[in-house]
Order: sequence, then C-alpha cells, then structure tokens
Amino acid sequence: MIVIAGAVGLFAGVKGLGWRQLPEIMSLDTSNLLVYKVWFVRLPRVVLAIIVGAGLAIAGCLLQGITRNPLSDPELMGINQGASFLVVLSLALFGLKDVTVTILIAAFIGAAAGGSIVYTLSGLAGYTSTRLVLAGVSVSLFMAAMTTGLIILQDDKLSEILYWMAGKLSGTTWTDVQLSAVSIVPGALASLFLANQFNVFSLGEDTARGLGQNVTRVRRAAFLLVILLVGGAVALCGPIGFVGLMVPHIVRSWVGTDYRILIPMSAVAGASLLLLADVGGQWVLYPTDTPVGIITALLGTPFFLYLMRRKMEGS
Amino acid sequence: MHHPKRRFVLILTAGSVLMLIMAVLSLRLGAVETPFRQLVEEIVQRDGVVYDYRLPRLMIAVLIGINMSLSGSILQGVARNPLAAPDLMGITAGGGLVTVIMILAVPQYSAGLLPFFAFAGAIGASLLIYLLAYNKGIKPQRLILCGVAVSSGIHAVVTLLVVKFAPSAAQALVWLKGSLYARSWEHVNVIWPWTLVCGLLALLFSRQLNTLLLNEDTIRGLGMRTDRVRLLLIVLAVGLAGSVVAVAGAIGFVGLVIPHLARLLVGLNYRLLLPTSALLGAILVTAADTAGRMIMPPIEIPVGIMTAFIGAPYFLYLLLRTKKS
Repeated sequence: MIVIAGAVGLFAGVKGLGWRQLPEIMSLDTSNLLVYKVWFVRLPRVVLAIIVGAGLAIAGCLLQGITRNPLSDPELMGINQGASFLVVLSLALFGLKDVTVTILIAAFIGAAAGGSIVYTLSGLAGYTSTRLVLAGVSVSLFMAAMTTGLIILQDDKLSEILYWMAGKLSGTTWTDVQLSAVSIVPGALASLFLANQFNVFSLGEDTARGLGQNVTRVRRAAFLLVILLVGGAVALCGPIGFVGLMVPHIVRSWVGTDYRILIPMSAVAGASLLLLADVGGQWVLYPTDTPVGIITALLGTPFFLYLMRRKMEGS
Repeated sequence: MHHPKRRFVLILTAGSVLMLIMAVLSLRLGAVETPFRQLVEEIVQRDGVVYDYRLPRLMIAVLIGINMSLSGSILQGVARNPLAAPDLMGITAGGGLVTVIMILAVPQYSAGLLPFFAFAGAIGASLLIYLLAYNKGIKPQRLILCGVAVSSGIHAVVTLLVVKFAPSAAQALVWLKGSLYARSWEHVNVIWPWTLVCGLLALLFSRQLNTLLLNEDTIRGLGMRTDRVRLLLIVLAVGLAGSVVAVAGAIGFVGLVIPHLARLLVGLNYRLLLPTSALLGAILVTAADTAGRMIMPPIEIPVGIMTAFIGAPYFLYLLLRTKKS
C-alpha cells in the first residue's frame, strides 16, 4: 500500500516522465531538471508524508487508549491547535526565517499546553466522551482564536501562515525530513517498545494496577509520546486532523486491539492515508495544491459522524 | 441559594449598575475621548461621532451579548449538557461559511445583504445537524457530537476558501472571529427584532425548559411532547445565534460561559436564569469590545478574540472544578 501510494506520489504529475527515464533518474545527476524534481521535490514530500502519517496515527492510538475514548484525535482534543498557536507565536516573534528548531520546540510546548487539559480530564473519574470532546473543542477554539488574533496583527505574512495553518506538505525539503527523524521517529519507536504496557493498561485501570503496573507512569509516558509525535508533525506540516481518529478505528477492525500489532499497523495505514490524501489534494484542484489537512478533515468529518452513530447504537 | 428571588433582584440591580458603567465607558473611550457632557449633548442632538458610531456599536454589543447568552442557556437546557453552546454546536459555523463565500465571491455589494445569507447558513447547518442527529427521536448527546463534527467539516471548507483566496482573506478572517468594527444603525435594525421576539418567546418557554432538566421518563410522564418542544427551542436558539453571526460574525464563548455564571448566581430556575444570563452577556460583550479597542490602538482586537480570551480560561476552570467535586 505504502509502496504503491508512494510511487504515485513520487512520479505522478512530473512533466515528461515515463518509464524510459527511470535509469536517468537513478543516475543521480543533479544538473538534470527531472532528476532534481524527483529527488529533491517529490521524494522528501513522500517521505515526510509517510513519517507524519505514521506519527499521527500512532498518536491517535495512544490518545484513544489513555482517554479510553474512541472519539479522541489530536485535532479534536486541542493538541494541534495548541501547537499551532505557539508556532505562529514564535514565527511572529522571530520572523519567518529558517529557525526550524525554534518552531519545533515551540510546537512541543504548545502541544503540551493544549493536551494537558485533556490529560487532566481523562485522569478524573466519571467523565463522559461527550464532555471530553466538548472540552477538547473548546480548547481548540480558544487556541484558534489566539492564533487568528496573532495572524491579524501580522497581516503582511498572512497568506503564508494561513497556508501552513491548513496543514500542508508542499515545499518539503530534506531538512524537514531530518527534523522529523529526530522527533517523530523516536516517538514512534518508543511507543512500539511500550506496546505491551499499553496492552495491560487497556484492561482497565484497576486490573492494570492489580497486575503490578504503575498506571500513572504509563499514562504519563503515553502522553509525552503523543506530544512528541503531534508536536513534531505540527511543526513540520501544520495541524493535520482526523488521521489519528480514522486510522486506529479502521486498523482495530482489521487486527484487533493488541497494541503490539495495532501500533505498527496504524503506522502503515496512517502513512498510506496521508500519502493518498496528499496525492488527492494535488489532483483535486489541479494545478493548484489543496492543503492535505483540508482533505483529511473532509474525509474525517463523515467518519466521525458514522463512528458516533454506531457508538450510540451500542449504548 | 436560600433566597433565590432576593438574590436575583440583588444581582439584577448590581448587574444593571455595572452595565451602565460599561456603557458610559464604551461611549466615552475610543480614538477621540469624549467628555461626559459632550456625550450627552451628541446623543440628544443625534449627531456626531458618538451618535453615529459609538452608540450603535454599543447597542449591537449589548444585543449580541443578550442573544448569545440566551442561545447558550437554551441549548444547554435542550441538550441537557452544561457544555453545549452555539459556537461549539455548528450553528455559528454554518453562518460563517456562507458569509465567507459571499465576502470572497461578491465583495462589492454584499455588505447590506450579508446578514440574510449568514442567517440562512446558520439555519441550514442547524437543520443538517438536526437531521443527522435524528434517529427515532433526538438524543441530546448525539445532537452535540453531530454539531461538533459538522462544524469541523465546515471549518475545513472555510479554511480551504480562505487559503485559496488569500488576498481578500484578511477581511474574511476578521469577520470570522467576530468584529464590531464599523457597525451602524443599519446593523442594529437587523438584530433587535430577533432579540425581542426570540427573547420573549424564550421567557415564555422557561417552564418547558425547567421541565426538560428532569429525567426523560418523568418528562414523558408529565405529558410533554419532548421532540416538538426541543425542536422549537432549538429554532429559538438558532434565531438568536444566527442573527448575531449575521451582524458581527462568530463571537465565541459568550454562549458557553455566561449561562454557567448565571446558574452559579441564581440557580437552575430558567425564569430567573434567562434574564440574568442576558444581562451578564451584555456586560461581557460590551466590556470585551471596549477592552479590544483600548489595548493596542490604533489596531482593534476583534471582540470575538477578546471574549475567547476572557471566556476560555474561566470555562476551563469550571470544567476542572466541577469534575473534582
């Protein structure tokens, strides 16, 4: 799946490219425009889509796990918006230069701030999923209002920031991929290592405690991983929603609830989804690019409605 | 809450005094500070900066505050959830979408017509939400979650539009966050009938709202046709919130926070709750608008951002506090 989608993303739409040019591309001759397009424009974008998609899907898995709520998603819980706010703030303070490390740090802090409210709520007994969703949405709204306020004050940079705010993959460079390698990839690997712990945790807090697990520590670890994954994703591509909502559900219906399988499978599915959404976004309003975050949101909304209806039938 | 009635009167009096102070401040302050005597003169003579610009603006702020907080109070009763609000449930999003389309598509002539389109959008979105949530009757929870989903979908479309047509996006963006900039008597005339009619109807229905707070079986036992009453109340809430979107854009958190504050002050009885909410809402929006003008002149911070700034922290505090007890 990844391979097919990746190949499409890599080669589709590059002018004058056919199978015959394949050896030419492999030659790595950077003076050739075609080679440059594939290796320095398309490939980093595809790689980043894979990494970010995987990261967001894993973050969704973890969030749904720690909040015990099937409607959890970094976008709905205010984590994305928190990260965006601080990123825009740092852009406003330090200018739109290539200070990507600052942006990354800002995104982490923002993700933590946005997520902490949800984390606190999910730790208290007796909350319902409606309550959690509403709390998350209101955090999102608040952060979004602050972000818009900042953007309005900075209106000379308006369109650039706005485009970023919609969640985009265009203009990806290898630097972005390198940055994702230090934030999202370790986060993803760490969650794989902790998969067994999450399995125990998902049995319910009391059972987990009975089995000798330090429940608080697992929750905290999962939360930190979510921040790492989401913060990294937002810093690089802007807020992209609903990947974390859709993917874990689809994957769970395929492979069950064992986190050791669920996490890697979600990663694969998330990567494919984001790749396809990105390819779709390039194609829908060709020749202009539709930000990938908008595509995922438009896919995610009906999915959310469907999930909610099914869940309500059940209860 | 030993003497809710006496408390109610006390709060109403205190609130009115506060409202009066805020109103005078809002009229006095601005790019040019107007002394009190001149202020009265201008209003009596119906001429000058105060009468032409600040007075309609103040009136719109008051009406918006009343509408949003009444709408929030009603929705919280209908949805039986203290977290329901017009801005969380997709009502304002629908109006926002249509207005952004209008601003981007026909920027020249839409200013006067904008309210009607916004209103149509709000009604359309609420209808969609109601239909999506309808499944052998309306469950409050489903209504809320549908609203959240629909508004996030609409939000994606709005973002797409704003991104694609960035040159005129600044205007759309300011509008989306709710601004009272350059509002005139024309806008006052759009909104006040809605406030009057829907507000009075809401007061008339306060008994039904009180009943809706009881548990489902009890309500049915009392012989109330819940679905019909709910629909009617939702229509009222949409009318109130939709007219706000029409004149000022999406002003967040007023409808969410004010009903809470009012409940804290006068208790659950809707007969007391609705007037208190209305008064507090008017105070909040007026204060937010005045503050937004004063903080960073000559730049004006949209009132919607100010209300979010004031409302959201209080809301989070409420959320965490009520859960602990």
